[in-house]
Amino acid sequence: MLEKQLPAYPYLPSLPMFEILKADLGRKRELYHHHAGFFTRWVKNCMDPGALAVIVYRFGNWGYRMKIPVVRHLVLFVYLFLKMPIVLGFGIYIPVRAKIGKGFIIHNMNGIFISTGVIGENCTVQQGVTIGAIRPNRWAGKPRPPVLGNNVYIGAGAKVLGDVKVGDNSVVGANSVVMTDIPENVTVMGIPARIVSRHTATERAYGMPEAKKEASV
Amino acid sequence: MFEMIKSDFERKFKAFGLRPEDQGPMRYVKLSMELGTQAVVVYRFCRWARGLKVPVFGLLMRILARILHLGVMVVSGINMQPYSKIGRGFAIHNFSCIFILAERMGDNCTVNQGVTIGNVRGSPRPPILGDNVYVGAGAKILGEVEIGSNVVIAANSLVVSNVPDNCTVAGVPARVISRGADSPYLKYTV
Repeated sequence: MLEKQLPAYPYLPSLPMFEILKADLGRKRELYHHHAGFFTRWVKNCMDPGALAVIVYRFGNWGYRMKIPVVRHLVLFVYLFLKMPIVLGFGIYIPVRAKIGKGFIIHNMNGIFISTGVIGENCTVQQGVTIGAIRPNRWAGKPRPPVLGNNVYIGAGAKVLGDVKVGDNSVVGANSVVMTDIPENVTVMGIPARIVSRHTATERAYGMPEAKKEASV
Repeated sequence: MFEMIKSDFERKFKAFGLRPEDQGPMRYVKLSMELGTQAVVVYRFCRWARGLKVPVFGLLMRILARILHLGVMVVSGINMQPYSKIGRGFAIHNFSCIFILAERMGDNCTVNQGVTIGNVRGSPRPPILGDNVYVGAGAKILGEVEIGSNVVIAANSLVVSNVPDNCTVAGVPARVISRGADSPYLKYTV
């Protein structure tokens, strides 16, 4: 039933794993290491805890989406062991059922919990972020996860909880708690989160012109 | 480096206290077992190795510092960049999810779990903190801000603007809630 309510955010089940991963790591490389040397751009970029977590999640998600029965179970079995250092060592938890579009970035680590909701393309998540499902009723019902649009930026320590929708190009400020729907192209902040500005600073912050941002990923 | 580490140890003894039975040399062992203390020691080592001018020895020390830094980051989740210049008597209480990248921090600062001190993309420099600053659990200090001396930053607040001397700030975004800073941690200095 929930699937019907969801907007057509581009979660691409038909894409192969490596293409999505290329988009993820490529976006990270362009945003954080575009001026660095060869080693940082191609090796350190992939060895970052957040990048490793995304790689392992994509691998598990690829296995989860696979139709071939025995190979699927083998992949998920390997995933169990790959997941262990990510959860125990880095403190990043992403279930395989999460639907995350391409160009997903985790910056830094620790205390990151992402539930089984939908996340659009080109989203960025910082340390200490919870994107959690909560039950509509305390005693009954399935937990409902949030739905995030494209190009959403979630600051350090922010929480997005329950059956809420965050519009495209929105920015959630650090340490804020989002419990209500958020329109597109706004910056929200505070506990509970309120709109503080009708334009977002991501353009300035990322130092990328609009055209280049469109071109990347 | 060793003077700095000694001052950190002294500060931690004074600020966080020890039970009376821990007065012997065993107290150094006990303190060294804490992840926050280990992270501070590794940070001091990284900082020292960063400034070394000796050619081969310096490179080896820097590689060792990198490995230790990674180990601390994975085990305890404390990421202290050696770029930041931190004064004497720095104490980290508890661990996990601590990211510190400051332009300058004064003496006798205290940091709790879940604290982020760092620059946002596009800001010219990381934050500057004065002496005797207590940063509560989960507080975030972001961007080009300057924080005075004798300041208490309450838990889970978000500081994105300058803070004057001798005050307590709280909230998202943080506002001054009191013109006096009253925390036991500010009294114990080295």
